[in-house]
Amino acid sequence: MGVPLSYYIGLAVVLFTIGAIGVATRRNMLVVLMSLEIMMNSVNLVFISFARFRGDVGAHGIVFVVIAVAAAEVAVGLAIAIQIFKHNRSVNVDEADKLKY
Amino acid sequence: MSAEMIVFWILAIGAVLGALAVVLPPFGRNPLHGALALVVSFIFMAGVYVQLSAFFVAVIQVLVYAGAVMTLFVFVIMLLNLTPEELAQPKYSWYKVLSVFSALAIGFIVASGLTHVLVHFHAASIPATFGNAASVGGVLVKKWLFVFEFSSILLLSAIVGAVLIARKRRS
Amino acid sequence: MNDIVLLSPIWLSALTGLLVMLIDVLAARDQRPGYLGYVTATGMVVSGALALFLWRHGAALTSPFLKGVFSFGPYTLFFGLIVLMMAAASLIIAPDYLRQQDADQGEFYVLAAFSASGMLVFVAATDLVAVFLGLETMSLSIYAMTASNPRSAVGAEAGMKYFVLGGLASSFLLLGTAFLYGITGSTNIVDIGNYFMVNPPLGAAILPSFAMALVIIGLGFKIAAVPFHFWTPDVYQGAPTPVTVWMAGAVKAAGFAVFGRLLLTMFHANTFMHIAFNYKLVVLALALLTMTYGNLVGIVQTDVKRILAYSSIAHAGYILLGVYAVGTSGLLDSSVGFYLLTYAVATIASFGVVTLMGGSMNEDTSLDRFAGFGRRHPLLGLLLTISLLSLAGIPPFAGFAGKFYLFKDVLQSNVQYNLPVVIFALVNFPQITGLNSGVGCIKRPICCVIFTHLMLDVTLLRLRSNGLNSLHLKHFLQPLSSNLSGNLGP
Repeated sequence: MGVPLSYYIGLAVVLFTIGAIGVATRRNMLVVLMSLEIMMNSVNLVFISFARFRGDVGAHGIVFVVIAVAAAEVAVGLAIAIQIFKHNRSVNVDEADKLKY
Repeated sequence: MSAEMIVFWILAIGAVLGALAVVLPPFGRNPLHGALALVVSFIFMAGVYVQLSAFFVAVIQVLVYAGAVMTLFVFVIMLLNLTPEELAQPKYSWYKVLSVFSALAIGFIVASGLTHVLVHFHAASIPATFGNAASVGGVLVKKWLFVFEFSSILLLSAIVGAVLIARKRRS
Repeated sequence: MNDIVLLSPIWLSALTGLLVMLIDVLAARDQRPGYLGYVTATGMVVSGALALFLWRHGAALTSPFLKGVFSFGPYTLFFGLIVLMMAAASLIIAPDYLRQQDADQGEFYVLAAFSASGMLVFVAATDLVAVFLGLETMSLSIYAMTASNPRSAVGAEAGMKYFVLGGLASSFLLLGTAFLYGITGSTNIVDIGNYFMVNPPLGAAILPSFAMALVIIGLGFKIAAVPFHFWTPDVYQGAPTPVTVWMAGAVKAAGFAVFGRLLLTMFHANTFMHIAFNYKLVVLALALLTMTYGNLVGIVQTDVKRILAYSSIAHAGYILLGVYAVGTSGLLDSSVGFYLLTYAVATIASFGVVTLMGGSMNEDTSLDRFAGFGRRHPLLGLLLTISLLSLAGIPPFAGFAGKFYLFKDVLQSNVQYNLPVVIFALVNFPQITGLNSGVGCIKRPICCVIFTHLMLDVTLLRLRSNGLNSLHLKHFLQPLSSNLSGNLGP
């Protein structure tokens, strides 16, 4: 085992940050969804690296649940994107601005 | 640098570049390119999982993301058939710049702080069966029995929800 | 076998969803049965009754595979019942509204039932993975319910905003879970708490602080505490009003139940006091920000649903203040539970009236439409007035008792700055948000504001001088029950 844990966690934090930046800055709903997927995946990496370094396979079960949740989230998110497209003819997050005070 | 380290760096750089290609506006203008970059990133991540002895999870990662999620994304992108005019030019606001900088700063602080904390973690010795389908399956129905069963409700509600939102209605 | 019985409120509410789905499919295609909402509500009530019967004694799951996933004590029972009550209430008002909007679909109720089942898991779970799964089951259904009206562009927009920010929040919570697992080797919150008890974090303690911050951020989105609130007004306004009731009531109550449980169990104040970043100060900051922001911004709103959204933000601030003050005894013994109950009842009533009106008003809930409302619908006007007064904390109503006990608890507790905090909360004009929306119904709100302030200040002075134990909760249950029966009238 040549690679220390901090490298893996560092990679996960970098990916999580990239995903968070994507959610915050991108306007296209589909890209926002992809960024959410990147965030979920980086969390999976944290789980798996801690599982390896603790020698506890239990966290792999958590990763399964997270993958299932992420897939379910994509399904609902894409359905919402289609609904938005029907109303606005666009999937841009900030072009949907009917709700303002 | 050991061979494992070199492999890790290749995989990590691949995953990060893929993720950046999704997120950064110049690359991800077209969502289809974004979806492809996402899958590339996830396949590199699966490589990292293999390096961490999570073999079954790596296989599932490729199956679910490249097989299911990616297909869903591509279907929706094709279905919406976004023309270039509909694809937004990136807009910059102080809010976005601020959030990017704060995210970068927090990420940097955390990552640098973690490297000091995590040095005392050493890899545990693991059995040869670690992370194979049998061990993960055993964990799923033993340790995570309830969570495993209840995720069926989650998936069902996602299906029903997607049907409720996106289906065509009689007028 | 015993475990299956103990879990029955959870699977029964999921089963209700399946039953509704079946009825919806078997019914003739052109005539949707109008009773689906009531079937689902009945399912919620039955689940609640079962929970009351089974969880009262705090039995534990015995199977080795289920050990430690749930705790079915009075805490779970109390919040589970609030959640189910709110769920049943919004399901009862939903069918008429949805029919008026021409959006009555069986799947809506299926999702509602699944969401309630997820909420029960969320509230009862003592394992972070089960908490996450319950949260996601609850939220995914609500995203879909929010965007369910095919003709409503604002509904779709609200669904999108809620989805994106909810997804972000749950990733934060999940990352916090991952780090807690990494530090302690467990996802069970009791084990995590014990770990920190034995190995208290010292100094900067970046990993535990980071995990705690992530958990607070993740749940802060769900309870709409202030830096994480910005989705709330838009989503509450855009969502179909029964879904708004669901979010403002059930989700918020469930969120607070879990927020309190996670913070008090995992990041126990005694073990986390040594580090620079302990949860008490964070919660205090959140509470003060939240109540100020909710009350101030609520004043300038012109849409009733938005006003109620800001009111619910402000209430989250008060509840957070209660969480800040709570000692080792836990949330249930404090006034937070009672406060949540009064908030829940008043929320059901006020949003219920808005629902009844919104359906026929083509979903225009601006304040002007409510002018003269009391003359057109005297009974509903009275109900709305009562519930708004209760939300504002005006004396004869339950909301006053809630605030009263909350402030009493804060004063009584030995937390830092308790007196300045309470005075700050008092001058925070909790009433204005509520009364602003009552302008259409009530003639002279200013008098009421002054009156309330006088009442609260006098009570506070008496509390300081007389000692605090002379009062008891039971004296205040009387107005609550009268408020309840009044609300059930129409």
